[in-house]
Amino acid sequence: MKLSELSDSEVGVILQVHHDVTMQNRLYDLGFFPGEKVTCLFHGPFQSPIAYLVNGAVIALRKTDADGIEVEDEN
Amino acid sequence: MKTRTVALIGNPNVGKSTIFNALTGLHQHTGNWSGKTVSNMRGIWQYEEEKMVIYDLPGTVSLTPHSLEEEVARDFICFSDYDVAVVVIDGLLLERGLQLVLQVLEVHPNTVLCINFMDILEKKKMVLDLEKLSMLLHIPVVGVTAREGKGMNDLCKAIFSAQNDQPYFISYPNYIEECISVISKNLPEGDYPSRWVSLKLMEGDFLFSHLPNLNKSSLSHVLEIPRRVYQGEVVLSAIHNEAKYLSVQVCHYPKEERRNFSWDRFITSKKTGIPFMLLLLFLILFLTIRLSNIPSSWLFQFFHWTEEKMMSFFLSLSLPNWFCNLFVCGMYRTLTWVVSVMFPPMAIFFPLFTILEDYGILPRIAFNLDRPFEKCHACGKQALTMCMGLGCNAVGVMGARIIDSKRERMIAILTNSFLPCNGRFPTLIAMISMFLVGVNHSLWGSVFSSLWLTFFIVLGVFATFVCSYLLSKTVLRGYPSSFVLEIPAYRKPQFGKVLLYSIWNRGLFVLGRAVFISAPAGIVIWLLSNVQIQGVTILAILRDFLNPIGVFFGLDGMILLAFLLGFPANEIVMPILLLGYLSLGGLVEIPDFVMMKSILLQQGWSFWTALSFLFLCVFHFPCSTTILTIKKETHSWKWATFAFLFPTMIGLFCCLVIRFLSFLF
Repeated sequence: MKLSELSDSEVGVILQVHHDVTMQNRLYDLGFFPGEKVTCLFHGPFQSPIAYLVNGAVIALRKTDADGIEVEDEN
Repeated sequence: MKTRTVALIGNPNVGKSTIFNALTGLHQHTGNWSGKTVSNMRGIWQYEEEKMVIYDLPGTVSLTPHSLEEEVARDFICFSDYDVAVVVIDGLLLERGLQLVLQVLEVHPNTVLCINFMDILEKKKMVLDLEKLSMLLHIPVVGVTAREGKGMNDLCKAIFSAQNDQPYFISYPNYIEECISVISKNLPEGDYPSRWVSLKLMEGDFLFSHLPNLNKSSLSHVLEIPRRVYQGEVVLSAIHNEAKYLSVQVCHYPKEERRNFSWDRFITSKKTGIPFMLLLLFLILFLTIRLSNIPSSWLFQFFHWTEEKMMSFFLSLSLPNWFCNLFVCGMYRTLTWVVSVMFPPMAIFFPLFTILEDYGILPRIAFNLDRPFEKCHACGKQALTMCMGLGCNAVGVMGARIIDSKRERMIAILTNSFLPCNGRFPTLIAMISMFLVGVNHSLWGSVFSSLWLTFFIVLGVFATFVCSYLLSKTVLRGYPSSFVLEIPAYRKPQFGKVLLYSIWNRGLFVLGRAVFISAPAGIVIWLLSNVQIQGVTILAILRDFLNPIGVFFGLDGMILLAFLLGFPANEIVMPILLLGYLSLGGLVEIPDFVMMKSILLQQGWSFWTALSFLFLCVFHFPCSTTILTIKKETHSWKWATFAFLFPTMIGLFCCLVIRFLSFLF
């Protein structure tokens, strides 16, 4: 499933990041690495961006960017 | 002996600037958000007998830059000549910090690792084995709590005695290592980290601007093989795993602790997010207006009293009359006007804003506003530059460096002046209280004034959205790029420090500006209104020249003249306007708000004139400092000119609409 499909408080494990190299590197640097656990924390007032807890940090991504991250539902 | 240089490196928002301030005794601005520092700051650090030069770099997540300010940091780390690298990391984000440490170690072996926020770690009962980490990495590791100054002595000692030339190599898979050795053998001679450059070349990043003697064609045969087998993930994953391994070795969590996000959920939710931000804005403005009334009237009375004394003193010295007038009515009066009316709101708004910034509210605002910005094909980080613009537009323009995409950065730069800066607040407040609310120092008077001021700021935000959209549909065509924003944990603001520094630093800055800009402006305006050509003062000539244009837009010549003469600093628009009117009307008293209003009414002002004036105050060319900053940031006079004309046109258009409305009602 897509990362953006997680609801608040749900946890997923990253399988793959489908983005161009630049964005992929950026996401890897911030901890969105295959195998990492991601918790969806809260959605913005307009449903995007979405805040995720990854590797101890809270990172906000746009919904369209979170669409490109494939996760496995842990729940 | 050569002066040693130290570079402060680290992820964004780990407290590099706080450490920099502690070491150098400077007061570089700090804030709780990623991207506060956008350029290299240089300071001198005296330790025992030795003087060292220390650089505070913008935060960077890795050595692969994604935005301008990260590129500034990367260039320094990889291609500058410095002796000691101090990598600062957040103890709570150990793994991510270590990824950067490992990358820096490949480039610069002589590194000291500084782990910040030890107090929070302790509170969370996390145990970090610093000695073990130091042994594993072969570099000194120091734990500090920078904001309290704890551990700074150990850090100083570690930097002072740092002396490591043994690079720490991350072990990549064999075939990558082979490629590295082949490429680095073929690299031209030079003082740069060849292992790292080889890796970058494999990635396809040629770094040409830094390696002028690198010949792409001569390397192409060497690069052909690695290009075929290389995958970015392999290198990154090696770094990632190494950092993970290290952090597991040295860090012991008591138990997986869950941070509480209910407050964050409240201020970002659908129902409460936007209203909360509006309320916050209103509250800050209310406090600013309410609290500044008091010192303002004190200063006002004091300067009024001293003006009389000064005048009679000068006259008693039997100095020439024109000199006394020039000095007292021109220079002194403008100066004191700026200080008494303009200074208090600025001095109160600024610390309030800084406290919120310290607390960590700014990234949440950017988070909430990203979606509307995305709709306008811009970036949510523009909200951060907008907030900085409320303090000073020049700072906002420079802050746009945090925006990754060049196009979106340009939009943020060009629309920044739609947010009225601190220097325009007092003018807005004065006009609002005279014409929209009525001069009224009661509680409700302040409430209504702050509501109006909130309205004008929200209007500025609205205009930012509309114009960002228009720009991205016309001159800056393109689609929104990605948006990645780190939301930091809240930190308790350092109230005492904020108050002290922002009033002291900011106060000195504003007062300095008042002296350097409003004093000469006072002299100029006095000369303009007293030097006559064929019996008419120059001021009257200029006003009469601009008057038809002014009247066309529902204003008058004097207002336009005041805005034009106020180009060096927005604070002096009001004083110039009043002095202009006063000298034309032959008055010599410096007025308070009640009198000021009657003077303006005498000059033919109405509610509509005031409204037009307010709109023009929000939408007009930014001050000269901002224009110069735009020139510097965009490297183009064309864009600077555009930034001058664009808001002005919008302001004048608003004035026309208001004039049209005034005919209707």
